[in-house]
Amino acid sequence: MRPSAEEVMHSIIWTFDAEIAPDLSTARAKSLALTTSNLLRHVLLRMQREAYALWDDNRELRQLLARMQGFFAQTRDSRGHDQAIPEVLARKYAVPGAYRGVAELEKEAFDLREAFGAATVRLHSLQATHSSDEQYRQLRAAIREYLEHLMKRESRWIDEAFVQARR
Amino acid sequence: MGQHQSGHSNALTAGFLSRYLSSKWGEPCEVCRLEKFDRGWSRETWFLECRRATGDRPQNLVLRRDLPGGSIDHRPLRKEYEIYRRLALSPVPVARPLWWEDDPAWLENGREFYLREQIEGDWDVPHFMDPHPQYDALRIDTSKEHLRKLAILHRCDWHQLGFEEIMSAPASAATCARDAVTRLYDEWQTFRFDPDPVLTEGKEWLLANGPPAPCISLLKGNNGRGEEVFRNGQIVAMSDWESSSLGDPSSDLARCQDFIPEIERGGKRLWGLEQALEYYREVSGVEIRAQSVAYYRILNGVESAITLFHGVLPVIHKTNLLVRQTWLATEMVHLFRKLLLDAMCGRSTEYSRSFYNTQPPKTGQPS
Repeated sequence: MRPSAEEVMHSIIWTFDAEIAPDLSTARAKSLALTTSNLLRHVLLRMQREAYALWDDNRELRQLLARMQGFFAQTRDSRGHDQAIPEVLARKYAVPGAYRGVAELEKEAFDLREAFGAATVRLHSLQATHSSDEQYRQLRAAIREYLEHLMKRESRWIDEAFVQARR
Repeated sequence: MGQHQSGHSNALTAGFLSRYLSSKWGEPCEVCRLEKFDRGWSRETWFLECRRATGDRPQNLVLRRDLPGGSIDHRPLRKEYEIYRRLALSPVPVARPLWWEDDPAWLENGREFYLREQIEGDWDVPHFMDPHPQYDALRIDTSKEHLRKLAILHRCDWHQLGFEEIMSAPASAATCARDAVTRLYDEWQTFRFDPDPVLTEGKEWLLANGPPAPCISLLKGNNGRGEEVFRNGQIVAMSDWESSSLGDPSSDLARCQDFIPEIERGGKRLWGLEQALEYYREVSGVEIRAQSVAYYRILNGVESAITLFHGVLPVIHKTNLLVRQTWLATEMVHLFRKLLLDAMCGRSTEYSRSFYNTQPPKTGQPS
């Protein structure tokens, strides 16, 4: 349907910045208008990019969790969470072929990140005994690399959105 | 959307406060001016001018309460009042607290509040942010005044003043940073709504890299420009105590908002962190290292991120939909997490991993 949601957002942002904000009279209203304008751009960029970013993030996190699971299996460490990673990796989030919106991708991301958090705490507890283990070091490096990618993906709706005074 | 509250709703009225103060003072009192403070966003601050029947001149008071839907800060308002109550007995310049109010008969939608005296002065120091050389002396004098007042705070006897009753004290100076990290992450767990891979992985880095503290001090938390009251070039009241805690004084030096300006003229450094730390050592007897300040800039950023997660709960629960909190929880949280990740990956320009190779500094022990 035209105008598309993105085109509508562009129209709202332009009208707000060019026609509404300049006519505001109180300091509070002007300040809130600045914040709102930045957030409108943030929403537009998330509409355009967040679904793809979540898809990529979930895929990368699944691979990392599988690698963490393999490491834990080798360490024969019996402390808890043995089933958390296999359970979340086996969980079905969509009927094959069905459309998945951002909300469904967010639900999957939530579960994967919770499992990742628990596994990370468990990895931290092995630092004292495994810090010289090459596989352990590689896994920790892979985690940092994933976090770099995560933040880079998120920055795509931050850096270009917040470009004028915030308040 | 009708039941949702905006930041404008639940406005206090002069009539209500006149009745309240008349009850408290036991004599007729009229609030003749009431103004909501526009700066600051974590809690509501109201300025009121009132006239008592027996008073010969108007009296100025400050009222503080949480925002509709709750405070941005996860620490309770009562703690802030209790900090004022204890500091009123110390050499630290603060406004005198008057009453904590939690009687449901006086509360609007259950929102507790407290009142304190208003100290005459201004948060703004005219021309402080002006980089023109003619204001160099003003900027350095202001920075020194702030450091002197921080030194008074950091040397006060928090144990004798009863701060352990309202704050947890670190087990030792050596474990200050570890204790602060553990406490912060424990607090986060009480309201966490999303997992955060960066903060989770970053906790280990924060625990491993915490520097030893020169001493355990009462910390102001938010401090610097906009947080203190000035009159004639002097700080006459230190304000905004909601993030106060017990810990490494380096943390406060890492959180001086604008008050350690970098000033260089003709290739000569007139003022900056190095000069500020040296001056602070002279007035406090406590030696703080630049590396510790760098570490606490990162930890304070993580604390801010966690505080802002709490601050956006009213947006998520639709009890206060003002966009300010939404912005803080999007852009600012992203930037604070990025600061942590940069440090974890060795990219921080201010931070270098050498805490383990240096000796603890020689220090005074104010507490």
